[in-house]
Amino acid sequence: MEEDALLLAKVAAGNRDVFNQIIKKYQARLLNFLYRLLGDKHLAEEVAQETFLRIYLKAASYLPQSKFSTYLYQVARNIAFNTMRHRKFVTFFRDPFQADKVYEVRTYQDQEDYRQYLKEVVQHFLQKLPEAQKTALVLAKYEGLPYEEIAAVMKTSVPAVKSLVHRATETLRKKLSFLQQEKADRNLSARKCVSMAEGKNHG
Amino acid sequence: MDDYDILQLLDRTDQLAVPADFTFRFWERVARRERKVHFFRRLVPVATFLFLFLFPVRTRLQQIVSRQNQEIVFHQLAEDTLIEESILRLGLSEVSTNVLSSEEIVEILVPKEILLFSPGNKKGGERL
Repeated sequence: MEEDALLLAKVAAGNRDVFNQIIKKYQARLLNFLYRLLGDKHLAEEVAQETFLRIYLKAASYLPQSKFSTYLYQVARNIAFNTMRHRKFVTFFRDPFQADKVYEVRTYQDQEDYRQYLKEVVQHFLQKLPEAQKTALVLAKYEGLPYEEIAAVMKTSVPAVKSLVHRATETLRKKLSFLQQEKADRNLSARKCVSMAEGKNHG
Repeated sequence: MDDYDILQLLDRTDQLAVPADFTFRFWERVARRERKVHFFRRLVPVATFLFLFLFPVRTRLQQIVSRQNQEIVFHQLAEDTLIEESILRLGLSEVSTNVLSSEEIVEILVPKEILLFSPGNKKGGERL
């Protein structure tokens, strides 16, 4: 039996303190997974807490058929998507004509400003991916899970997961291609500056 | 833009640090949940009692009140008919339409002791 399953069996038997070990082991992974799915720090924390609570309460009925981490991601994903659906519903009724954010070519004060901008843009387009594609991509690229485990988390087949990851990457490639253009423009302007300075020196 | 570039970009997103009180807040949440469950477990017998006992009693009381109201309306109608008939027999219909209302005529002509026992009155003699 897997170590985590044994710990959970101890929790089910009434040894509550053992659950602290499970929390400590998985809290960082779970929190970051949820942050990438939800795009909101506070919401990710809330869902992570709820996930651990659900697992704690259902410890007695846990059947170690798959890895504990697979079970954890499954529960977290379900709670996250329910929360997202609820949030979408509430947001729609608050502001049904909310416009999508538009990213345009802009100037940056320094490297840090640019880095911050990149973070924001990538997070934004990651959030815009369909739920299944986003989960597959986050589990594959960030969590480094093998396709078999992702398939188990998402209750689908390995080829389906591969297809989801591929489609997600393609969508991001299209959406983020403007960054490449921006980079090229910046390099060009930098080169122009250098050549002008060199011209002055020669003159 | 190739897969490597995409991965590089994906790596740029924030890495969240776990709050120091994460475990503490978890156990707080567990305690809150247990309190809630305890409260609802105590509420179940009360709710069952209310549903099984008070709800039928309330329905029965409502039926009684509605029957009494029907009886009162019926008696009032009977009294009105009796008054109108008496006025017609006394030949005072013209007076009742032009000068006095039927109730005023009854008050003038009929002694109070008799009025007390008219069908529209309760048994104790109090006028409705």
